[in-house]
Amino acid sequence: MKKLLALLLALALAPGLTGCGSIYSNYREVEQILAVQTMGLDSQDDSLRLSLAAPSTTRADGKPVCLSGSGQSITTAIERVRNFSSEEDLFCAHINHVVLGESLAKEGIGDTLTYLCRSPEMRIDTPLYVVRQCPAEELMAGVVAGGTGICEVLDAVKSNADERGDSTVFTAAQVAQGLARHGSALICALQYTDSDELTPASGGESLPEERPSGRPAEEIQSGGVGKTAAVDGYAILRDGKLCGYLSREEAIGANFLLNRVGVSDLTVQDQEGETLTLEISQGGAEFVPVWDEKDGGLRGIDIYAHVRASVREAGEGSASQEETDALTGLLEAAVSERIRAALQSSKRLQADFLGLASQVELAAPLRFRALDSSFPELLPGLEFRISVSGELSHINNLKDA
Amino acid sequence: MNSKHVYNWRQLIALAFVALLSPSLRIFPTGSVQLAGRAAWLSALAAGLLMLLYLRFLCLFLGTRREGEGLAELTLRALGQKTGRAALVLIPLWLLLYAGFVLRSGADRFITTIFPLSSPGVFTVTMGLVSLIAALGSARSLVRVARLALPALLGILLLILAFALFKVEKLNLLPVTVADAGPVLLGTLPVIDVLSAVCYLICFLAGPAPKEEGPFRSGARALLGTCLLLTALCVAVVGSFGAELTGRLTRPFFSLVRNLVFFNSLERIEALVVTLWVLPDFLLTSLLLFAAQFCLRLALGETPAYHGEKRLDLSCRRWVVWACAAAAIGCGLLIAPDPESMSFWSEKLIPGLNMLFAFVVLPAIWAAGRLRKKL
Repeated sequence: MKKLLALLLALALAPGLTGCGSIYSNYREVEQILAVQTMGLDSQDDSLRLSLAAPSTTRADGKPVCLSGSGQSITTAIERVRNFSSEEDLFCAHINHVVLGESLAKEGIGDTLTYLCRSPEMRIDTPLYVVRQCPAEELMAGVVAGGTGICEVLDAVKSNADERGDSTVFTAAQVAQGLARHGSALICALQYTDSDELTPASGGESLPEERPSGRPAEEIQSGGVGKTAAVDGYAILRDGKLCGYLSREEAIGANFLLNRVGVSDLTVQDQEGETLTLEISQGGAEFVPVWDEKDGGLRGIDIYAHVRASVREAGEGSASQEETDALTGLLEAAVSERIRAALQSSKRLQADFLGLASQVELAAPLRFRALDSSFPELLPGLEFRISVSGELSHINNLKDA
Repeated sequence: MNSKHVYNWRQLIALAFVALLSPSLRIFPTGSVQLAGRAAWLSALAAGLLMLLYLRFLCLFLGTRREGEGLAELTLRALGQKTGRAALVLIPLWLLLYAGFVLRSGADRFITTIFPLSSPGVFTVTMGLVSLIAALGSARSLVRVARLALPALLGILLLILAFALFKVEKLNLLPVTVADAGPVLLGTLPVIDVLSAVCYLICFLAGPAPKEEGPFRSGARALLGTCLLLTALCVAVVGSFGAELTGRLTRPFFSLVRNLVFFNSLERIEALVVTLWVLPDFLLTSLLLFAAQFCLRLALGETPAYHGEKRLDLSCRRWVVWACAAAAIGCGLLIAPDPESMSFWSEKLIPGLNMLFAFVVLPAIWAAGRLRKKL
């Protein structure tokens, strides 16, 4: 009898546990929810400009949505957007991308990282992006106005980065970790551009003036047809603030030093001035610190990089050993040049965004811990010797066909 | 003793394992990382070796028990009627304070992970009442619940660890040198705190367990297995987030769970995992309530062993169970009203008092019993 009563009680409770009905204050129908997937953040005078975008699939009319609002903090800005929005309810637990405007990144992203790490809704491994020379709001609203949602565009960016590997999309956790350990970190940089005319790789170090942020979304939407977002190297953070960029070419070098090399293309010119396109499939680097035996100081780092590639586009040539050796030499020189460029940026900015300190510590932990100065202080005086060993897996030569 | 209320050491060890999952994810690995940095993943292994010594001591202590005796009866025998009863009144004060804190920290976990707008009172009172129901019954129910919950919790934990290990980065864990030995030893403190608590708590329930079974061998196996699991947990968390970030996160394990995506389709399962962690909270609180009421009723001259009384039966001073639950719930409602004090209670006061009880009070009771030739 007691068991029967217990069973009946359990059955009676079961309907209440399904989430159906209005007894829960936070209960909402799926149709009433706007599932936000991209968050944009810009600095605006003394406040923060927040943009929230949802993909087209969440709406019955099939159009992507972008909402904007301001507040003293991210939370107050979200509340403001929530209050003034005509949407039923904003659901922020599935935000998959956070786009930072250049002005905010220059002022510092410490508060943003704290919010991402602290928020019970957000995930700490949410990918971060910095938009070059543009407010995040303009990028998001502009892409949305073009008919393609920013969420879909960034999903494609992330997917390409994961699958190909010519760029890395760093998460909030990785950025926070890099800043805490090395004082510097990289963030994937985005370029806001016409979808039919992606501009070539832009320069690395400059930080030109950004267009003003905070314009109403409606105004931006009217002129934003045909715009998209594309990966454009890395943004460099030092002490939480944007201090420069790595171009797409330099980013390839950085990927070697970070051991995050995926499929990426290299365009080189041979001695006859002929353009060749090589496709890198594998690569990485090993680090050997060079110590001063007298004072125990760090003199430099020997970097041994390796790369494996194939020839994608080339003129007619022979499949001789000499030709292969020449192509391998071009490959090695191109990789070496990109690695050197990334290292030069690190030295110039005194920012260890490549995590070289960890590599030195891994190779010689006791000597590293005995260093008098911090690694970023040592960076400008360090000598880097780069050695690249290349291998061409196949040359796809026409004569072989 | 009625065989319906008897259990064995294997079941008690299962109870200890499930109960330790509650405090272990509260202070580990953050506590160890704050003390040992990147080398914290070695702390659980080092703690395992140290805990074997403590387990040996507890087995030595329990080896002196007679049939049907647990730690409370041993305390009474070791210290004599007068001092023993005084000790049996003081020990529940600690146990109830700990129970109140477990209720409060469980509520805090719910608030920080799933229900940010909620009040801790709801969770504290609900869990306290559910634990009261358990403490009013047989201890055998507790150990059986633990045996049932163990595969589910272990399975979830191993699944999470298996997926999380893919995100581990070598540079977050290495290098570790001889110079890290000191910090690693310091980092064992949170692990020892958690392990020692459940080790001595199950000794309060040792009465119905058969005496002839030597618990050291099975206990040592379980202890080392637990330490390996905690090591894997630390490797997964520190390897994913790095020591610097892990040390700053309140609940890095649940942050890790929130990040996981299973087979590119299933994600955001943290609510399920946090909800599952209700079971360790429930078992630890019930265990503490049970031990506290047992000690108090023994101090009052009762025979507190459970003989199948009904839950609302107040004979044999069973009102003490209700009083203990009220005290624990009240304590849970009153302590740590703000995050700062919560950190103080979680990182300093409770571990400090626990270590004091485990490594000073209990050895002192044992030494007194040996000196008085009562053990």
